[in-house]
Amino acid sequence: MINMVSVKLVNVIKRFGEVIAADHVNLNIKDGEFFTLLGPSGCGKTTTLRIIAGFYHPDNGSVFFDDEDVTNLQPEKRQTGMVFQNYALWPHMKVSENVAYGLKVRKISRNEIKERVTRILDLVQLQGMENRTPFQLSGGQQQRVALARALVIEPKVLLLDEPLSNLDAKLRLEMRREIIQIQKKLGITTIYVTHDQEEALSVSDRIAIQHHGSIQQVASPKEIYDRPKNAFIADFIGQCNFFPGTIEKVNKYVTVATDVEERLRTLKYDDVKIGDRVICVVRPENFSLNKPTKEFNVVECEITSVIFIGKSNRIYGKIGDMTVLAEIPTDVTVEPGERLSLYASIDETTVLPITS
Amino acid sequence: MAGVSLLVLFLVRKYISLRQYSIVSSGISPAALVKKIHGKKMLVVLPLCINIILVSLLPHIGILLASFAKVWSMTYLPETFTLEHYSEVLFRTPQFIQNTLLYCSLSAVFDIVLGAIISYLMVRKTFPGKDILDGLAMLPFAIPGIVVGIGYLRAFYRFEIPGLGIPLTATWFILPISYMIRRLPYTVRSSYASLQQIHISLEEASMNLGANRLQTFLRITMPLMLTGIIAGGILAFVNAVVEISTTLFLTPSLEQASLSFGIYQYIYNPQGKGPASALGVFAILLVAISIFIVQKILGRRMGTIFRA
Ligand SMILES: Nc1ncnc2c1ncn2[C@@H]1O[C@H](COP(=O)(O)OP(=O)(O)O)[C@@H](O)[C@H]1O
Ligand SMILES: [Mg+2]
Repeated sequence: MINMVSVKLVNVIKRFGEVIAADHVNLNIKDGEFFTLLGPSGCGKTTTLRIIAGFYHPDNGSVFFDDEDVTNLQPEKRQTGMVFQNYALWPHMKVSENVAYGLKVRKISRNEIKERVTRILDLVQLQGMENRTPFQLSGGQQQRVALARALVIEPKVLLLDEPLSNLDAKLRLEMRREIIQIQKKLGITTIYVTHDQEEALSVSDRIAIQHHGSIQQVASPKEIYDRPKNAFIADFIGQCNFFPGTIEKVNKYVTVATDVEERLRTLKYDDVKIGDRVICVVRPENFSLNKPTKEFNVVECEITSVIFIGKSNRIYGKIGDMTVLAEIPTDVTVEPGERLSLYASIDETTVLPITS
Repeated sequence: MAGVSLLVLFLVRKYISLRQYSIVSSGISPAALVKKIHGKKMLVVLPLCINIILVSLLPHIGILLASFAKVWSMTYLPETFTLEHYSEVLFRTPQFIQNTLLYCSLSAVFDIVLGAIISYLMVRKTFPGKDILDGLAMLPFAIPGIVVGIGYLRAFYRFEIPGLGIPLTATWFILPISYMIRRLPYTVRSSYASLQQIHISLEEASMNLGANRLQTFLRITMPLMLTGIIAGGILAFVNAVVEISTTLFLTPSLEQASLSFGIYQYIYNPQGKGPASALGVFAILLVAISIFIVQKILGRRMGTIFRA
């Protein structure tokens, strides 16, 4: 039913005056994939999405749907279905008219329009809302109308620009699940824009991290989380402890002498050189109070504060002048002022190059 | 004269930029800013208001009385009443009212179309000469009608309509055309205000779903700015009804004259005071009804059209 395509961006650049909103963007989005553009506000996600939809013409580079170069194609010819951040529902039309619009423009017969509108409203669970106006709907319902309106034309690509950002937390989780379900059911190529890393990790097949307009890493959620390519990504995806240091020894492992005078070992990687400046990264939840069974690192710290956050205790400690953060189970009682040994297995200790 | 007002207009435009006529929400509803007046203050305020309203209504009352008066000279009120002035203007010289309705409707319709297009270009597009178009569209506010009247007369008295072979100034076309130009700022202004309220993503969503620019304008933009633009059109209409200066210069013949020209003709005729007043009553009614409709459509947004 859905004619899905792959989407390719080749060397796309878009400037707004001094700002480079999309900087040499290269993306290969597979057909049927749930692909997420993730990055902080202002990093160029919307710009990239609008270039795909055809609302911006890139200053440089090309956009392909399958093998077709669509760079110079008008938005109305691209057959993408976009859900806008503010939903952009038309207030002078009823729900059914909003949804039917794209079909009417395509001069599809009245009977077919009726049937397809009913079917898509069923899919987004809006049966019986046909005659309401957008003002008479809740935020979640408006969101569904926007989704139905985009899906009913059976677009080649579904484009979602922070679709959940205007909903409250609980509804957001519910809609998130629903969007994944619909996407899987239809198998439609989907490009999803968000600044919420947790959302991105939970919905996507693959994630592209964007920063200052350029794509930093494209990988599966798990890989992004476990193997962030640089310090920006590591910091942006969950919290991290950063230990800057110098590579001291390379044998089976790489040993880094950190600036706080702890030794940390990590797995070997390509192009490693003794004397290189690097950053070792350990996630707070990867620290534990017990020695892991695998090969491990250990750091000694003095506890400065303990904060109960529900599922665990968050511990702030001091190593020299550096603050270290660890999450440990609540059944262990620790007090500020105590000294603590934190263990992290070697394969959960990442090494990152120092950029710039 | 025209030079001075042009200069002032451009100075004003320079310092009060376009942004100023967007609707800025302070977050407080206008109703919340209204203070109720109580007690002793009312004793001062109420008579003051009544007096001001009475004084400004006096001419209207006078015209109403005069339109029914048979003889009215040395008394406070007319001595005998009659309907003959109305029958005069309705049956003997019906062209005044008919022409007015025709000319003013025509000019208002064209104003609506032009206003929608110009304001769309102003708000949604950037192109070379945008400032000039903006200035031109607002220019009629700055030029006195008398200047327009003489200007048109001199400019078009030798301009022959292709095919007809008569000069433009010898036909009634010149009247709706001049009204249209004179009142264009009303529809430009009102469409501008409503267009600024329409988020661009509403139009983008339409294009995303396969509609081209024209379809998007007709199905999304136009309907959404309709109330504002119709209100502007009605205001253009009323103001054309009472337009006197250009009318006097450009009316080609009595047969093709409009209401305001008719009043002017009657008033200089010793027996014409009554019919002139009857026409005046029609003009007042037209204006009142139109303003009432606009107020119903626009409500509190009325002010945005008049803000310069
Ligand atoms: N139409 C525009 N005109 C000028 N600057 C823009 C425009 N759109 C975006 N920008 C700028 O480009 C950068 C990227 O914006 P955007 O793509 O909206 O980021 P994001 O969606 O990731 O928050 C920002 O610095 C923003 O200010
Ligand atoms: Mg954005």
